[in-house]
Amino acid sequence: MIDRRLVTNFDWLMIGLLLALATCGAVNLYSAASSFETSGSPIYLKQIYWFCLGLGVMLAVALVGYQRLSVLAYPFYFAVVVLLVAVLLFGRVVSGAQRWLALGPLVIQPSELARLAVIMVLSHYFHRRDQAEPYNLRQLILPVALTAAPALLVLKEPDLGTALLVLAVGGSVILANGVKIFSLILAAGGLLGAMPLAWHFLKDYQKRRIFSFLDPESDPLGSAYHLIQSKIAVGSGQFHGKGFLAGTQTQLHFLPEQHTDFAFSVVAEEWGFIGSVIVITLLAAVVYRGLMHAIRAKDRMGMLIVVGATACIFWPTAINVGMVAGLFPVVGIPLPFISYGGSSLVSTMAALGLIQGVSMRRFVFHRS
Amino acid sequence: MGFSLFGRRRHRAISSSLPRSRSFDPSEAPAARRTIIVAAIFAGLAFLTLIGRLWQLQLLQGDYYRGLSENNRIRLVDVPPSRGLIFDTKGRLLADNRPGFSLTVIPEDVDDWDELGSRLEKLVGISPEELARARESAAGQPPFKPVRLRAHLDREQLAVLETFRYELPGIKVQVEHRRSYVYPRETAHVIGYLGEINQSELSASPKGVYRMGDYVGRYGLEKSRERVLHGRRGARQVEVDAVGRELKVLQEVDAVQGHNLTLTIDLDLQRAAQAALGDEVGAVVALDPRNGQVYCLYSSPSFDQNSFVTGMSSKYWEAISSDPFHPLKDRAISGLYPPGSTYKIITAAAGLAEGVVTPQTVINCPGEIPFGRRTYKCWALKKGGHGNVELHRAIRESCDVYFYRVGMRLGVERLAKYARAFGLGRPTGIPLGSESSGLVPDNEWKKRRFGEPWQDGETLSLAIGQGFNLTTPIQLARMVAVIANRGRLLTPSLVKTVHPNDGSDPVPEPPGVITRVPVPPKDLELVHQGLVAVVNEPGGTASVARVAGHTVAGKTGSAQVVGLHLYKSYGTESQVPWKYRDHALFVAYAPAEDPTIAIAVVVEHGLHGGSSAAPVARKVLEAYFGATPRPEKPSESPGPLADYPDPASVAAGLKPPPTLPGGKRRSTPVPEAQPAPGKPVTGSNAAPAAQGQAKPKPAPPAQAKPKPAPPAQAKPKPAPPAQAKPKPAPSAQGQPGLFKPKPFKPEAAPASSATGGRP
Repeated sequence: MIDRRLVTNFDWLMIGLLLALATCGAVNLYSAASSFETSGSPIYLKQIYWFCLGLGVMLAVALVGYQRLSVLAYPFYFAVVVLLVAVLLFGRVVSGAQRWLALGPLVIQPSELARLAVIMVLSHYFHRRDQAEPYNLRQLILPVALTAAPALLVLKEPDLGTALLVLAVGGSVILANGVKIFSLILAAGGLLGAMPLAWHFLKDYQKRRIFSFLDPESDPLGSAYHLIQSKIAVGSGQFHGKGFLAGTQTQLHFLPEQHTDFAFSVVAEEWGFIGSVIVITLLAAVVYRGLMHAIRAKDRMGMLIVVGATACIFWPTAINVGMVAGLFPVVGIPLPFISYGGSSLVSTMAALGLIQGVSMRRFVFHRS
Repeated sequence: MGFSLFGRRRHRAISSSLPRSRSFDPSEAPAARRTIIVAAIFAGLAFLTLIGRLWQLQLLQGDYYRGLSENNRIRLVDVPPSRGLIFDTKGRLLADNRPGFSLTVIPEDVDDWDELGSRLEKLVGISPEELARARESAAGQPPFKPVRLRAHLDREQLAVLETFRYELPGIKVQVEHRRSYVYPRETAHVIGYLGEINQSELSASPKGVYRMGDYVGRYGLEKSRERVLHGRRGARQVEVDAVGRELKVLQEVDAVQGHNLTLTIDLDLQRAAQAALGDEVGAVVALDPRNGQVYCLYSSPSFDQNSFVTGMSSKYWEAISSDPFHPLKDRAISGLYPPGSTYKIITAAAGLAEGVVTPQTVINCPGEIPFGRRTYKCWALKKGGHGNVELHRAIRESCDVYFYRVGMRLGVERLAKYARAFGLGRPTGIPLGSESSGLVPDNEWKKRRFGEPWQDGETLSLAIGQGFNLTTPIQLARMVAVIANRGRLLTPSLVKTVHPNDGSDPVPEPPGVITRVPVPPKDLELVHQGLVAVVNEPGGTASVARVAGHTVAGKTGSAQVVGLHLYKSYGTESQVPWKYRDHALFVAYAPAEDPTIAIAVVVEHGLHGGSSAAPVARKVLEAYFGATPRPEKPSESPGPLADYPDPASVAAGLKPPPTLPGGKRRSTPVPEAQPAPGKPVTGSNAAPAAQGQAKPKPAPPAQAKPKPAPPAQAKPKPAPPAQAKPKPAPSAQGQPGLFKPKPFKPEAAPASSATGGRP
């Protein structure tokens, strides 16, 4: 059944990187949540459970393989779209946003599946068309629509961060497949033109965040306060950090959402520049490992899937760390492996499973 | 680390056996390969930028930020908004905000929790458990955020805390806006009350609107208009010293007060209803039959709204929640009662509209009729029945047999259709939560509910408002308003205007939906005349409802609570235990010529509508008219006059001219009106009124004429005393927007013009 080459070509280094990241994440969550009084198992333990589940999912995805999974690309995609619509209709409202859907005892966040669906459906689409030359604008209409549909549904929840992520991942796949330079410039121009339209979709608090990012004075009490406190946390970590469990910003709850969106500020505060660079380097290594697999992939579909999955690590890292360090507006995007969040962790690991699947099969040919 | 990005290990791609694609090796596709290398460079630059930024923050500016974090004394202090005020229709303040003192603890500033606990217990009686609970609820929020321990401190506690302030580190007395209801019992059910927000509400609300410890509407308008009333919270960024005292304000965003509301409710009528019901259990609903604005919505027994805000003693809570009469229940909108004979209004309208009876149809009432295996009795059985009755008399004297027959001819489905058209069986849409739908039974319902088909005998009970029928007082008020306004079913409203917090012009509430009942105006006119007769003609069942100076039209009802057998087993009525006695109902509107108020009264176990509900209605109507600048009677008299010898109906061959009872109330106005313009009519006024009625009764219609011309009248009825109401002689004035002309108006016109001789 399982080809021996599948095992030898399994990317064990990647697994090592993930384990290292997950360890950093759990340790950090222990500290970030240590001053909360919570009921049930502590957050870091839950994160470990989620990671183990994620490993299982990753393994399963890798073993089934992307060719077989790609048969399900469209059904999966449409199922996710249906779930996203269902969330808007029946979802559970938490903090004014409707993101969770209860399916029996299981509560899921379909927006986390959206990027997987977009990766699968786009790579399947491009693979089927199998067009060597770069795509022009007209040919891109359908792929862009396939990306935008779930992104808009997610935006409607409203979840700006995840919606951006879906767009970024879809965009990465489309770019990797090849777009005419001229078309690219045109599209970028069009996108700038469409900004006002997108603005219309943003919720007030999202607009305020962007305003306050552009002009922190405009909202000193809301997101600018978060931004300032996060910068204080990061900066005060200095080179060595304040030490485990010793971050004053963290332990005194000056940080907003310190176990989710702002988990990295805790790393930066308690472990300093060294710790931050280690975590960023680990994530960068995963990204480079992914791109390497993309170059080695044996067919177009494999390459595109790997690029998409890698984008699932790269974009959240760039945006989240950028946000925490005051380079980006405050958008709710979790940092892979470091921020607490089961759905996001498992879906990230599933994406990594796709990479493994492609990597394992780079020498194997379909014996159908 | 394996950055073998440019690893050389290329493998040949053998042409693929993949069914739908050719093999593709990025390593052999220079374009793809180039793309990925570009991506890798891009990612590398991005990571370098991030690290560069961290370098900048942590190494270059590290000392600065370290300093900031060590003295991080910048706190965000919440400034909760004050709630919108609520006024009655005449601008009297009903719901206010007053300063209140609450006891809070700031966890960060507490040195020794046990110590604090024992001191608090000694000083102000807060148990250590209470403290522990507050501490628990504060978990997960910044330790400098105050946590409320006690929402309400009395003066004594305040004094003690102030004295021992320095021995209680972390304890802070905060002044906050506290809702205060000016007329707590009068307005309890309408305005409702507030309660502290709970965790699930907090998480379901949009970000930043609420905080732990906020109060939200829990009942009544406070709940249904929460969004309008709540306002927007502000905050202050302040620098504090090591003990948490504010040193200076760095930034501030003001809280925005909620919008103020002016209600349609009239406090005078609420009070009148409260006084009139007294200790009785029941409800009063009064509304404007022209537009559905609710003047009065009172449910008895009532309760003290303020106790919900200030934190009630457990004793009061015990009392209120275990009270067998459920004071918290708003009977006016959720009390369910069989409509009793007030339902005959619908039966009559349906019978006429469907043509199963005409105004001349004579039905013999021998006091009871056999149907199926049982006999259906008329209340006049002891008197030997009503004999031959036609519609007018049937309504006036509430003849059961007449309506049994009408009901039989209509059948349950048609009855149900008209009942629904008159707004029964579904919520009226008044903007309050917890409104009941009531029940309009029909064949399908019976099958669903009991699994058996409708029995014809049940139609008989239905036709006189007994049986499965269930209605709420507000549905009844709306139903009778349909007769008052000749055919329009209104949506009751409670809020007249919203006063935006930015000081801009008040925004009137959009009117609710209005539907038309499928009954021709001439038929409604006949029912109307019957209702006038109920109050004003000899033999009518509600002569107690007469109000000096104004013609009242109404219908009594009593709703059976237990079966007739049990009831009879007690012998006389006074021996029936209270809880088995019939509910008394009365619906009415006035002035009959041009109604501006429709009212429904239910007195639980009050026995007879005429004896216990109608007097309540009268008192409320008196309060209404007393507080309204009284129009000059001269102009008024013609109206009632005219509607009796209704020539149109006569001409149409309708009922014979009824015994003209109209005279009486016409004359009453004379004595009453002069003394009391703008003065509330109190209960004691009833006496003169009664006299007035008694005397003039015989007065011939002719009387009306001599009355002097009505002085120029101004329209609006509200406060300004100088103005009088347009009520009188509406047709003559051609008042827009009220009812459409109906047969009786035209007649009124000649009468009034004759009388009035207005310029």
